[in-house]
Amino acid sequence: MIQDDEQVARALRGLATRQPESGPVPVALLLHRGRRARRLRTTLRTAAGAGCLALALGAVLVLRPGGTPTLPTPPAGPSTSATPSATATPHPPEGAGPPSDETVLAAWKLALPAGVFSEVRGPGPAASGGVGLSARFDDGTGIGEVSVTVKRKARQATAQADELTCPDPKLAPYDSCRTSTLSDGSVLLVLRTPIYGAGRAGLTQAVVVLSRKDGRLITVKASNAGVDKTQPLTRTTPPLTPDQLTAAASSAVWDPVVAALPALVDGPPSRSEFPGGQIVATATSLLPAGLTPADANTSGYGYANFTVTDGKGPALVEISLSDNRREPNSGPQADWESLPDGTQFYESTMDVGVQRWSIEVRRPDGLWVTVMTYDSDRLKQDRPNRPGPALTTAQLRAIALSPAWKLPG
Amino acid sequence: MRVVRVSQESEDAAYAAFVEAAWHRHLRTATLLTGDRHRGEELLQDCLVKLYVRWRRAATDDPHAYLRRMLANGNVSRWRRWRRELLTDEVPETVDRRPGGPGGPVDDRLGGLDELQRALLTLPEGQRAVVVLRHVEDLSEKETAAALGCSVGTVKSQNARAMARLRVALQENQEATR
Repeated sequence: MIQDDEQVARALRGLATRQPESGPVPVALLLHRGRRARRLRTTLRTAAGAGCLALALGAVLVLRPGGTPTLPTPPAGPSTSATPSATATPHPPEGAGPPSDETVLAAWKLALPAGVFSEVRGPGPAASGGVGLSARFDDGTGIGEVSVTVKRKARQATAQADELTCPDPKLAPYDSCRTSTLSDGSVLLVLRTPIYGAGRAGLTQAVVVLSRKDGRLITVKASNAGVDKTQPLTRTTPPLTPDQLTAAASSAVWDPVVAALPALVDGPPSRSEFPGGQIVATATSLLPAGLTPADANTSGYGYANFTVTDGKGPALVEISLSDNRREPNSGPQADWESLPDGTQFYESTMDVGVQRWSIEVRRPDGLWVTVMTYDSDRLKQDRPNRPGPALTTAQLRAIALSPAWKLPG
Repeated sequence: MRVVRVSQESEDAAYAAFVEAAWHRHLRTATLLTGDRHRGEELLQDCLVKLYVRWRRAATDDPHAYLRRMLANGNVSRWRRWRRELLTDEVPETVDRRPGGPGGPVDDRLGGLDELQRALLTLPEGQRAVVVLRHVEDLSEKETAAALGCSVGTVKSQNARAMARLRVALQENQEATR
C-alpha cells in the first residue's frame, strides 16, 4: 500500500471511530423479530407444501406401461466414512429409545451407493420427532451435500399431507415436482429445484419424500454443494440421482430404525384459528376498489397468499395472523409506532431478491397481523415483474390495522 | 463423528450474547456502508434478523464474517434494486422506498460532514463496500472478495478507484482546515 493509501485508510478508520456512541443494543427486539421471521418461514414452508429448502433433481419414477409407478431397485452400497463410525447393520434393541446417530449413519451408508461421508452433523428441526443427519458426500466425482430424516407416523401420511405436496410455485418456484401413489400404497414425492438465495447460480437440490403404509416418512436430499454460500459449487449435479435417492428412501435398512422410533400422532390442527379461506375473504373486503385476489393459496391456517393486479402486472400479497394472547406483553418496542389504543406497528422494506414491503401489527388484544406485498407475483426471483407494489403504504396499513381481523372465539 | 445438538434456549442465549458483542462494531460498518446512522441501524437490524433465522449454521462458522457479508451484500443489492449501482458524480439521494412514497429526497445527509465523508457517500455502493471492508474492517483482498462474492482483481480495481477519489477528498479536507 502506498503512503497516500495508508493515510486515507487511517482517515477512514478515524471516521468510523468518530461516530457517536449508539444507544442500548436492541437484543430483545431482534430476538422477537428473529423468532417471528423463523415462525413466518415455517408457516411459509408449510403453506408451500413439501418444503421450500428441500428440493429435487428430476422426477425419475420407474413407470410401467399402463400401470402405477414402482420403486427402483435398492442401491449397491455400502458407503464409507471419512470419520470413524459404526459400520454394522443397525439393529437397535427393543425399548432402547430412539436410534443413535451412529445407528442412523450406519443405515444410511448401507442405503446409499458407494461414497465417502464427511462432516456428519446432527438433525435440524426437520427431524423433530424422528432422527436425521446431514453430511458431505463424495461419490468419487466431487463432494455434495446429502441429508436424511426418518420419522414414524401413527398413520400413513397421505398424498395431501404437507410433506408430500408440491410447493406453492409463488413461494418456491421449482424445476419439476410430482407426487405419485405407488402400487403398494406408498406415496412418493420427487422434486427438483434451484436453491434460492444462496448467491450461486447452478446450485440445485433434489429431494425425495417417501411415505409408506407402516407410517414411515423418509426424506432424503442431495445438492451439488453445501448450502453455505461461502462454499463454492463442488459439482454440476447432486451426487445422487432421483433414482438413487428413491432407492435409498425405500431401502429395507431403515426397517429397524423405523421400528425403534416412537409413532408420532399428529395433534389436532389448530383449525379454529384463521383458516386461509377466511383470511382471503376478509382481505377481499379490505382491498382497494378494483383489486381482486387471484391465484389464492388458502391451504394453510394463519396464513394465506394471493396475487392482485392493477394493470401493471400481478403482485403477490401475503397475510399472516397469529393469536399471541398467551405471549407476555414486552411493552413498547423501539422503532415501532404506537397508536392511541395501544396498537403497535412496524413497517419495513427488504430486498429478498425482489422487493418486499411489510407491516407488522401487534394489537393489545393479542392479535398479530402481518401483511406483505412485493413488486413481483412470485418470490425467489432476481428482478421484479412490475414497477412497484400494487398497494401503497396507506393501503397496506389500512388492511393490516383493520378491525375486520378478529381473534377466534 | 461430530454431532451437534443445541437447545433453542442456548441458541437464543448465544445469539443474544453475539448481538451484544457485535452491535457497536457492526453498526459503525453499517453506517459507513449506508451513509447514515438510521439506515445503518435499519440495515444491521434486518441482517441480524436474517442471521437469527440462520443462526444454527452461522454459529458453527464465523458469525461476524457471516454478518459482514450480509451487511455488504445487503446494502449493495438494496441499491441495485433502485438502479443506483452506477454512480454519477452526484451524491445519491435518500429515497423513500415505501409504497406510495414520493421517491424523492427525504433528508439531507450531507450537512455537517467533512469532505472525506462526502466522498465516501459519492462512491458507488460496490466501491464503498470494498473500502469499508478493506480499511475499516481490515479484511484482506481475498477476504473482501469472498465477502462480496467477486474476484480479487475486482477488489483491487474497485479499491484503487475508490482510494483515488478519497485521496483527493482528504487533501481538500486538509486544505480546508488549514
